[in-house]
Amino acid sequence: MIPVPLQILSDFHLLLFLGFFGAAAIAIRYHDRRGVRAGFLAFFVVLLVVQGTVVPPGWPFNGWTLFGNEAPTEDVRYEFRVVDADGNELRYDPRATSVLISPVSHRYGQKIDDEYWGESYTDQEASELAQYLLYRATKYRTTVESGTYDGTYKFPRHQLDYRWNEQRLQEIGAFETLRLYRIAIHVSHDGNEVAMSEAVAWEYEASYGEARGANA
Amino acid sequence: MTFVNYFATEQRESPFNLAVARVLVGLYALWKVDSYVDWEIVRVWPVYLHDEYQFLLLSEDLWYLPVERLLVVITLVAFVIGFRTRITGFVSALLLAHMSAILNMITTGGTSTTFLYPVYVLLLFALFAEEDLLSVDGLRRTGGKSLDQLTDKLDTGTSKTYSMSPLKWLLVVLGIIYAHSGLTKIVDGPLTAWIDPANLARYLALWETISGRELLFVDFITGSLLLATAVAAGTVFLETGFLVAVLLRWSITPFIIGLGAMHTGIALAMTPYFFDMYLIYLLFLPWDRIYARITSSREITVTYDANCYFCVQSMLFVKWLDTGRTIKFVANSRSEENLSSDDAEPSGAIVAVTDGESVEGYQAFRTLFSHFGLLSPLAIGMAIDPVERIGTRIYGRVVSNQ
Repeated sequence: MIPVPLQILSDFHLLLFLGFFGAAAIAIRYHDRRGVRAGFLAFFVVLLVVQGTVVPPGWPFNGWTLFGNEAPTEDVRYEFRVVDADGNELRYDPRATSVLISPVSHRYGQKIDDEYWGESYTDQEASELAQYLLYRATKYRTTVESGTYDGTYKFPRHQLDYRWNEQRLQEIGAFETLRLYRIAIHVSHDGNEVAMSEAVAWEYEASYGEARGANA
Repeated sequence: MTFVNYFATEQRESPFNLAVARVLVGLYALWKVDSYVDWEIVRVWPVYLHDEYQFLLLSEDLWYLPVERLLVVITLVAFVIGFRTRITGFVSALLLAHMSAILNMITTGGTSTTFLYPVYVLLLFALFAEEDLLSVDGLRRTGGKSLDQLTDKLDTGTSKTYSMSPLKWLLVVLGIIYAHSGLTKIVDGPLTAWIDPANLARYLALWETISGRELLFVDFITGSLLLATAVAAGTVFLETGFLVAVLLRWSITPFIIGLGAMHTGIALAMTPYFFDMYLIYLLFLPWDRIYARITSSREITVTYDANCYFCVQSMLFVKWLDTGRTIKFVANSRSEENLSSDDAEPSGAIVAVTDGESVEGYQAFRTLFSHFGLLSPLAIGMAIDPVERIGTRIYGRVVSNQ
């Protein structure tokens, strides 16, 4: 794939989204004219093939590549943890937001500490995110503690199933700080040995009452 | 039981499978909208991961998101019953694509990208809506046909076949999606490195470390060089081979079973990431054959009044439901002998004869419904006294108005 400047990419996405659904609308409206449907299907198939191979994928398409590359021996992962006043830590449960699954929280962490998609967050953006994550964590915590969290239909979970339970929550007080960890992992070539080291990359401390605040 | 490669055999003897697929896809999309994502959280989410689809936001506060969700539910319900499929299929696809694009700016990966499957299927159904006859649209469309055209379909229909284009093209789409995953492993991996057992071992070790969770069977698989190589090579083979099987018109059953087993292995060892794929596979089951099996095998001969529009139209639908071909339709020439008679008995417009027993009118419909496994609860309901009395009267009115 050729690297493309962001502005051009954004225009390309706009064109792709409107172009694809525009073409679909025309094909559906004029389906009975000769060649219209076949033309659209050819267009659709070509887009499916080139997205992620010749051009960067854009909605409503995706790269559809899963673990295409060789597994690395060195990896860096970011992880959020909630912290109470005494410094007790707990890994963030993605159910608190329903969308922040662990590979995704890794990307948010990357964008706070470093760069993701060629950009990093400003301090204000990072704080806004942290504030919201703390708010959701506290809110979700009460549903776990009272046993009212209902995740029956919330599958498939696109992440490994780490979750809070009452026991884990008993060991930690009110969430006051959101901490971002940078975890460096080294895996031996044969996969038998793993070494990791972690360090706090960033943290956000809620001012009094903010984490429990009413701002959604 | 085998999965149907619609790219090889696009035609079926009844439009039944398309109707089943439409209902399944509609329900799948409805579940998708509310299964996982809390759209209120999406609406108030403070920052985006990437701004690619900024142009789709339309307004900063996304005030319209709850309205859009409601709208997509309405269009999907209409789609399920097959009401104006061209419009409802297209609109629900567009809305789902729009909502999931916003979701993709917040959360990349399967949570948002799996929304693209229903988007594609909905569009394909909209594109070939006229093929989907067992639907409200089908009822409306037959209503616009002349009596002769309908009688013709009912009589000569035994040799008639029905196209399943949405399912045919969905197989191609699905094949390309899987092939992307397989080909990247071959080209970018590259293949030699990717099927090296150490590669799988490193991937799994990384996953265990990141998740802090011990995965099942890992030691068992990575403990054997042969098994680890077979798992890796099998993955690449199934992912790339599926499209080949579709296009070369081979049986897709071994590939669907293989890919399904692969997703099941991942689900058991980790978590059911690929649950959606099982629902997609369901669309390729031979529903007409399965349905024929649960339909009563006794034979029914139906005599219908060829001059009664309602009778012919409803018998056409009965014929489409009769995937086991257990019902014989005979046009009644009653009309000729009674041409001048004004007091023709309307309840005799449809007569069902089974095992030498003959029932007429409302009761004939009841017999037909109880004949089809899925509709038999309807037949039981129709036997309840007030329903039966009112039903018989309505039936009499409808038939005599023809």
